[in-house]
Amino acid sequence: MMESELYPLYRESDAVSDGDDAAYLLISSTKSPAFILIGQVSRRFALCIELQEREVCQTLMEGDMVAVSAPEGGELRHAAMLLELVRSYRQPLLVLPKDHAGSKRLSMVVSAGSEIIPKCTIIRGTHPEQNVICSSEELSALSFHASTDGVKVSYPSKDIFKAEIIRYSEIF
Amino acid sequence: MCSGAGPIDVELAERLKGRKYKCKKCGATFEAVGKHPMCPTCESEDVAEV
Repeated sequence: MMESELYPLYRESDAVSDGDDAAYLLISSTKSPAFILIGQVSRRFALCIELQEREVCQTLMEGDMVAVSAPEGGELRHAAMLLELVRSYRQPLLVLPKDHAGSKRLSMVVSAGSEIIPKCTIIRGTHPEQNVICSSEELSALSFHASTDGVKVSYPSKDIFKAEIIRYSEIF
Repeated sequence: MCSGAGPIDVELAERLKGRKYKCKKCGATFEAVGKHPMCPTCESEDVAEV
């Protein structure tokens, strides 16, 4: 049976103007070093997704999430930088073709939207769909839904993860 | 379940299919998904499907 919890992360000002006070939701696995870092969009913009043969744009609305997944763990600073490249600086997302040699170089990956479902069965960085993100096996039991009220985390058991709201100033 | 050698290659059922739009403000054409297409060039929401 799934339970859920709402984390009131959303702020109307954006990370660039927030500076040290920008807020993130950090979801850490209790079974491995894996984590997912989530920030919310405060001003809508067109996110560009670059496929091999074309470009597709997805409008991120106020409250939508930008999430960085680190299936093998890593530095929070790395994840926060990736998140802000997309959220604050509108860096396009690049989708690799399946079997591309670059997939194994991606220690962290990014997804964005109002719903994000972690999955452990996808090739890292090769799917254009923004509602899924490569994750560790245990975190793939979670799902995230966003609104201007915050981020709702749905989970089968609280034992598999720890959730906390952290500030930009704690990371940098 | 992830295999020990790496993730299993699983084809996702739903592929990313966008609709084509033209921006009425700057004239840029683009492909977008979702309910609120927005011009990636000038950020105008005044767009028309083509």
